[in-house]
Amino acid sequence: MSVWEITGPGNDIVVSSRVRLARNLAGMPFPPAMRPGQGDEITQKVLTGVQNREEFNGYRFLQLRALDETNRIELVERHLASTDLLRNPDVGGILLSQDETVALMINEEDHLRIQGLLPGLQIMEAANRALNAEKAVEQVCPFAFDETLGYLTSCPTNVGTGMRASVMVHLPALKLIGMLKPLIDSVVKAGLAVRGIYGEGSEALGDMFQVSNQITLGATEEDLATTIQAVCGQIVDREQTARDALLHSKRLEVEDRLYRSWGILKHARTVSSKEFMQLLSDARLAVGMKLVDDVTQTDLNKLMIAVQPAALQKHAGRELTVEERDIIRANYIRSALNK
Amino acid sequence: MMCDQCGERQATIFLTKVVNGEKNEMHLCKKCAEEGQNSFFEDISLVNILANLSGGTPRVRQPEETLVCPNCGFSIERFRREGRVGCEQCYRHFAAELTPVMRKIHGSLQHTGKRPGAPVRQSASTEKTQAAQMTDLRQRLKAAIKGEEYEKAAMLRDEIRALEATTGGAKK
Repeated sequence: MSVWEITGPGNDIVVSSRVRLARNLAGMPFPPAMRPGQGDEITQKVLTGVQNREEFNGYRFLQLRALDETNRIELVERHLASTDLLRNPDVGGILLSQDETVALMINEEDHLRIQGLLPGLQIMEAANRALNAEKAVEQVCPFAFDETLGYLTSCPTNVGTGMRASVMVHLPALKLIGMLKPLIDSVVKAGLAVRGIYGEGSEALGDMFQVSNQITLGATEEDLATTIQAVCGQIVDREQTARDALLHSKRLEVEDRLYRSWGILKHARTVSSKEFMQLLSDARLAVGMKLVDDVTQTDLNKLMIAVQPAALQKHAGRELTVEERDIIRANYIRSALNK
Repeated sequence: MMCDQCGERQATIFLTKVVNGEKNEMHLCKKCAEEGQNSFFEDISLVNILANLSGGTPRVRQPEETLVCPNCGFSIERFRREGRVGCEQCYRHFAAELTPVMRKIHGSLQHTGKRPGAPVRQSASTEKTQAAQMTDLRQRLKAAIKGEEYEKAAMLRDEIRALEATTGGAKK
């Protein structure tokens, strides 16, 4: 079972909601200053601490150094690891809940990044899951905390709550009517950040964007989550209005474009990763506009994760050339959509 | 105007960079601008922005700038370069530089969110209770001696000793 197999509220426009809490164990140097051996010490402290706690029943531990490159990247594709975690392959690890909605990254930029991840727009619940795991770890491993500055982190941009809440939204209609830039500008003015699908510096593939809080100090966890939830609620409304307007004023053009993409997805013999994300964007829009009803957004989410480069190689059990990957991707998409 | 970079060709590209209100102008010829072989094209990463926020425009370093955290050995230079600190105590030792940075980023310097859970808070309040208890016992002991109730005073003394033992016997 994975997050991407669950149907979430508002799934037509919101792909997923995620909260990450940055924490460091009290009395130990932060990852940028750790000496050899201290990374493993952190891992041991956390694992020993949580092993008999019922909150962590059914969790499994993945150690990066025990995984090959493909398996590591696949964790990023499933949004269970960050690209930053992969920069510490010797000491990095992930403690993962059975349904994968809670993941504790160990030895990323901070000792712990505790993540709650859920499909659709449910940032409060994602925050609760992360905070519950955090409270349980705190009972056994006290965290670096300052009365004034709150939780202390490697980077001063994360001090205080250490909380980063982000929602992945799919905004193809706003893009089509040319309203994306003004919307992003106003979200940024509201003090939030807008990024590509895999976080900082990544490209906005398939018209998907991550909206997240910029500040972590001075506001409560609840304030941060409420703001994100409210802003994303407004973004969803605007995207929905844009979709309705498109269907009203340009129905033929929109239908033509979306059905063409749908045809390519169902019949192409080779599809690159980038092309797939654009076709997927059209497919999500087609399902959202009820032009296509033989698949759900959840089916498309599963497909999105399954045909990423590392996932395909993991499935094939070997490294694939780019050409091979594009062919296997097309085969996989065809068999998934032509059931 | 000649190119600031090569000084050979006519400058056709004018660049203005403003960092912390400090204006910096560059005049380049097309070739030098394309090659980008000058410090003007610094990578505008978060780290550099952080460094710039803390007033770290690469000038001549003053002696006090080689501050090092005695706990983890992380230097202020490294913070300026990487935008990261090495341990919880860095926040105290580098406060002069970190505080304005954090104020600029967050617009606040006071955490209002979640605090460490029950066990930590409990220990803090237990400590308080113990201190209050000690004051109370000492006052009662004083009163007992004054009133020549020596039996009571001996009991109170034993209680004080017991409490001192549980708190590590620091207060005599």
